Amino acid sequence: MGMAPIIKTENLRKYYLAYKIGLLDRLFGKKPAWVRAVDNVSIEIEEGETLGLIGESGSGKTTLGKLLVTLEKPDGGKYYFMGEEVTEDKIPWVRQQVAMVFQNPYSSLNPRMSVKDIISEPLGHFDEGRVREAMEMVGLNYREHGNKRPRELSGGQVQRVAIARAIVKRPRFIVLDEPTSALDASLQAQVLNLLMDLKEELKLTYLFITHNLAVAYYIADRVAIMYAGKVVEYGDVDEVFKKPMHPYTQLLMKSIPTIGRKTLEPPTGEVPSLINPPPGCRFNPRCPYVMDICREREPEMLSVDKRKVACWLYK
Amino acid sequence: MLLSIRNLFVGYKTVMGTLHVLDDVNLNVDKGEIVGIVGESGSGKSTLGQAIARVLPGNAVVSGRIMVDGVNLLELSEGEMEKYRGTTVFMILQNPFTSLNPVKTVGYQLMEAARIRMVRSGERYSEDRAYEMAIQALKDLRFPDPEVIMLRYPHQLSGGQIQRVVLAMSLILKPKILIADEPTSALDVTIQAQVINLFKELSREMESAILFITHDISLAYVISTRIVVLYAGRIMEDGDVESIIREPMHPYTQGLIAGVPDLSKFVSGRVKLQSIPGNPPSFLDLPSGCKFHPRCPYVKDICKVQEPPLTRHNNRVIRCWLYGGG
Repeated sequence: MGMAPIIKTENLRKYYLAYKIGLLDRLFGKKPAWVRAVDNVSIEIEEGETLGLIGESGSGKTTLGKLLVTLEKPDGGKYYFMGEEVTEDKIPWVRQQVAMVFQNPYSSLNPRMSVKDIISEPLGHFDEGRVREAMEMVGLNYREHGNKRPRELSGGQVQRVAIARAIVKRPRFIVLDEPTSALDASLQAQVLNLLMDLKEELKLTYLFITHNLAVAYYIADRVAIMYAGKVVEYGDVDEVFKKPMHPYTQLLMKSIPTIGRKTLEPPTGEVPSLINPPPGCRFNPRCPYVMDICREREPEMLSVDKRKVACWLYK
Repeated sequence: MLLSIRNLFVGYKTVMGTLHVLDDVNLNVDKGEIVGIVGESGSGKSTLGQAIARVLPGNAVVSGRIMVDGVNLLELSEGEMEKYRGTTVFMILQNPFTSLNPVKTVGYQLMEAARIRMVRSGERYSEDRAYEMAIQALKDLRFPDPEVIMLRYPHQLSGGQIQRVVLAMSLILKPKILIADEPTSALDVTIQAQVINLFKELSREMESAILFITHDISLAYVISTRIVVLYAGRIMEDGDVESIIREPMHPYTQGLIAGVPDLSKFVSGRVKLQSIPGNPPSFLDLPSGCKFHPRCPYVKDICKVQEPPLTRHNNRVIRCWLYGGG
């Protein structure tokens, strides 16, 4: 290709304070504790592809999505958008070309605004033509739905409004944060199909965040698996699903309820705390193949064929 | 037969008139069966569960019979019903935040469950034994430090943790009938898988009957031995899990299954997901005839005027004009 990927991150980091540190705490020498939501994540997304970002709650998926649309500022590492490093003064330029759709449309859209105002808001002024066009693209009718409030619409329709709002500015890149997990199965299928059509029509690039592997398999070209703030495996969707390499990915695949397989074999134990992650590889307390080195040193991201995997088994 | 539901009607009185939610539901559940109750939101799944546990809201109107071990639960007084709750019928609610007492510790509530279990099975209550049972149940639910969790109040726990405490309570009480209303929707996939395995163990070891209410067909497939499909408060299809998933007969069931992104279906290339057009009907304004007819691809004239009866086909019960009756 030769072209720069539309999104590229190098060791991107975002840490949050676990609790407030007041003056007294400071006087008594209380040390701040950090939640390492995104810890040294390096990914690339090519123009026109869908990267599925899979992980359990608290693995840092949403934070990574927010970093990419500049809703959060990174605490370290580099972020390149269309080949240019994103610095403070580049943020307005990036925001012209990115959008995000959230999980629960009822709480992410202003309940007191009408549908047409919600959709035109990102434009900064009301443009009936563009609102009408965006609504038609997501299967809503300007005349029928334009003056309604979100609560007057069904779950599937409200999510369509959120998608119309995301595409009205004709962005290049959209972060979709669990856009279908609040929907019934039949509505989920409708919204996924719509997203696929829009991507073709508008030549979009997606980061699709989900904890549902079947949905990720359906929609993504490549997938990244996140665990405790780190990307542990990363590659072509068919390869990762057919032959998962990282032990966490393997066990994740065996936890998914799938038609045709009656038994589930989940990993034992719980997701670790992001305040005090275990030393070495973060998956080591739950890993069936744990070795001595896993408890001491964090594995680097290794390239195996076209795949990237952070695991000592492949060194 | 452990649980036998006969001609169950449930309605809700509202200012806009009475909503008829469950309409002539008949269901037999045997010991050790896990019945997946599936359907879209607003199909009456939760109402069915709540009717069995007798925890319906005050404006509900119920008629019919719910027989458990030969006793009609609907005829019991509230005081008598108390004796059946917990050890005979136990319900796990969808919203975990309202299912525990906010001013008692987790340990207190689990030990209370252990006491009830001991008293009802004729044992003498021993506090040490109750503590042990509570700790063991928490360990079974993969709490890394159960002693600490015992001292916590519900508000100090996350939704997933509370749901697991409620599940721990059900492991202690070992009910004959466990009604689980979307018990894993607040949990992550790996924890969900752990919980599903525990449910299966509970039904195998204690021969508990489990009614597992969910809108996730793949999840229902994994846990259930049998599937009951509800639509607009009516049973549309009822049969063995493998046969329903492999060969769904009712057009609604076919639609539900076609809409599931299933890993096994996409081996080559990308296929478009099928979806059922439209939305489930409102109970205020149910269509005439078959309640599914406005969304059905095979709709015939008779479907619009007359509601099909439930008919039996081999080991399957189905409500559709495509399969007899007309």
